[in-house]
Amino acid sequence: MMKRKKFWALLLALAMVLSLAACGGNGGNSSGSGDSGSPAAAPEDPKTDGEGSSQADAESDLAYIQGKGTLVVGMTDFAPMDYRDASGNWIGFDADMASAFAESLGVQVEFQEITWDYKVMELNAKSIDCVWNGMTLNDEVKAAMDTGNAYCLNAQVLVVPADKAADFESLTSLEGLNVAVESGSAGEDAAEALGASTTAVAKQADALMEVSAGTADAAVIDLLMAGAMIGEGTNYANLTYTVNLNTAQGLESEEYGVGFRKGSDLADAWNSFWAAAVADGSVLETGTAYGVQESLILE
Amino acid sequence: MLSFFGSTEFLTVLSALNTGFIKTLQLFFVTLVGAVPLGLVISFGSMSRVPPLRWLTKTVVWIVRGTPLVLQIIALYYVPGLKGFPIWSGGESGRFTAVAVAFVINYACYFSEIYRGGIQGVPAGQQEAGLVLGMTKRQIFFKVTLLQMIKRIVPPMSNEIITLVKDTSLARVVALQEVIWMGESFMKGNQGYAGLVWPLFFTAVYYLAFSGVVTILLGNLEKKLEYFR
Amino acid sequence: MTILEVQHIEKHFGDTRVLSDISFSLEEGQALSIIGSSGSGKTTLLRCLNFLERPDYGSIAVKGGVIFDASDPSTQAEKDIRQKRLHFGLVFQNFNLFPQYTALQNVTLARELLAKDRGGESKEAIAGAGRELLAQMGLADRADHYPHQLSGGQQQRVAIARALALQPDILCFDEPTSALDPELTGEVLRVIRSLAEQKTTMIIVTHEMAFARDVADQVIFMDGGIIVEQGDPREVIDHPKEERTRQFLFRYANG
Repeated sequence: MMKRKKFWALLLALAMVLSLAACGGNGGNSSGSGDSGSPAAAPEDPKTDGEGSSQADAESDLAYIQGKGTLVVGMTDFAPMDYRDASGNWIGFDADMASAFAESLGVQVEFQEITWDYKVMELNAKSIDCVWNGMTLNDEVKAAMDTGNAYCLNAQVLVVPADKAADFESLTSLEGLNVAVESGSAGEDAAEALGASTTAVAKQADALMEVSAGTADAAVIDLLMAGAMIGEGTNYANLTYTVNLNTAQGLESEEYGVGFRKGSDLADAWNSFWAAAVADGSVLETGTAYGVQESLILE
Repeated sequence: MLSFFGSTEFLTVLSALNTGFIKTLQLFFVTLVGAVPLGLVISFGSMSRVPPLRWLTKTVVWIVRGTPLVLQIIALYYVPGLKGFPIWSGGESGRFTAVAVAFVINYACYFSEIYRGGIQGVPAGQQEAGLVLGMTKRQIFFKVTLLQMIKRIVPPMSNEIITLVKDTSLARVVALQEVIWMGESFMKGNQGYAGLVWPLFFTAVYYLAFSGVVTILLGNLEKKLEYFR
Repeated sequence: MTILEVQHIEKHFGDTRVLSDISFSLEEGQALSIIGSSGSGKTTLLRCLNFLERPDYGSIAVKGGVIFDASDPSTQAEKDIRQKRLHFGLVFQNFNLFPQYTALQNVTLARELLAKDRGGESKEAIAGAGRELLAQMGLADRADHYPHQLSGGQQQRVAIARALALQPDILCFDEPTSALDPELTGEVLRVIRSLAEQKTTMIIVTHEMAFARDVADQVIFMDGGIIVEQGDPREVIDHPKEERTRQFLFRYANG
């Protein structure tokens, strides 16, 4: 009798421990439910939605960053936005601009590579302070984070062998083509929408290899990625990109933005910083250095 | 083919993998140094004559052995921060500390069960012989039981330690940049190389070499203890 | 001189009474043999003397001093037990040698640890005494062998030397030949016999009737946890007074 009671008490205690951990997981996301983020309007709107409420409930995130003296930027190796130079320092369009942003706040920048799937948890656990890594502003991102204004446009492009580029010039349908795509990517959706039979691979780089090896007719990857990874002077000099699939489908381009914690006042600080940097020409200058000037939003 | 091993691509990848493997080794040794003694403490707890202490220890061991290590790493690293008490710094050192704590606790629990089997496998007559010879419990443990227990646990511990060599790769879930992380980084892009798949598979060479060394060392220990039965 | 005085010992394991009202005494220099069928409580009695079991009732006195009294907690303090155990030596049925030590190390280990605690003898002196004991057991050339390299009879002789090394007042044997092949019992019994001749005070639990009769000064027959009969071995074994003793001896002789 006694033993049975103890067993149930034990089980109950365990259930409590587990549910506590589960609450921790949800706690970060639940505040996002108030944000009805309409994808078209939100990034263009200079006022980010978390601004009003954020001051009331917690200490200012900006004060927290300035208090500890570092801005931890969560990112992955994603040329040309974030990558390492020969001596191991982080460079790239995003990395350079993040350094400038930290400087404007009067703090040190610290780059931290993260596992991309855990970016929201990293933010909420305060192990990083922002996600700045060519992040597409989709509904999930906008629900879980406060984001700065969009700063970059991206599109899905068709990558083909350079010597066959002419054959693809005026293509409007991908029917009958075997196209390599990153599994679960926007490129996969686009390729399938245009009737291609797709081969899903783990990474965009793998998709390039498929084309290079002749095992796929073409690949669909990000415009930014294509700009940096193929063509003259790269590992894939024999490849080139042709069709913009977003245009071909009559869709808007994707927008890139920087993510902050829900309710953080850093998003506002970032918007002011960015507006000034656009105005003094440093955004264009940095973008040109990394070959992304075509994609920048300068207004 | 040979010229490949002198190419800048090979040397760049090798140096990145070396950096990652040093992280792997650090995690391996910190885990071993922490979990070997902690496991003994836990095994004493699970054999304690004080029932609440025994239940508590057994419950902890059950939870730790009954849930995936990768989940424990994620929980240990993120949950404090999500609850508003960030105890780990966001940088590499904070990640390493959190992962090391998770590994030490996890492996200590596995070791404790091996120890328990080893201790209980030593015949009761050994303890009694020590007692009637006027030895203290402490003397009996260190002078009589311990070595017999070690002899018994070396084979199962070898298994566990070789598993640890490979389990260190789970640390990359919180972006600890061990050798597999480094290998994968060349698929997506690292130091100007992208789309390289071979570095990922090449990490196997590191694991094989290291687990080979570990196997030889533990095999030697097993041989050294063959002088008695 | 009476060296051991056991009075009214009683011991239970749960609801089972394994010893009841055990009383006997032993003179210095004498050998006492305890006989009886398995389960009669002989081994439990030896374990009580060595503090491996604690009696529920009764008292034990050595050289006139009470070392255990079930009704007096001050005689049961954990810290004194270790010291009290040293009055007794115990040779186990299964030898229980320490497998990782050589024959000599088995003999010297406990004495070295005691010397370390209290100061006194040097390591060399202890090793010398250990070699002498092994020689006495006829094992001078086996000092550096490990237990698994020795025969059962040799292992048991090492165990006897190990018990003697601490110079106990009373040396106890718990069926010392039961785990041995028949052809190996002789060498162990010879050693015990020579110890008896040297007037070593001993309690021997044994199934070897002939040996008990020849070597012991006194014999106790136990059955069902009580002492059925005790006295001169020739009397008890050759001319038992009690029916239960007769039955046991008859079964033994024909078994």
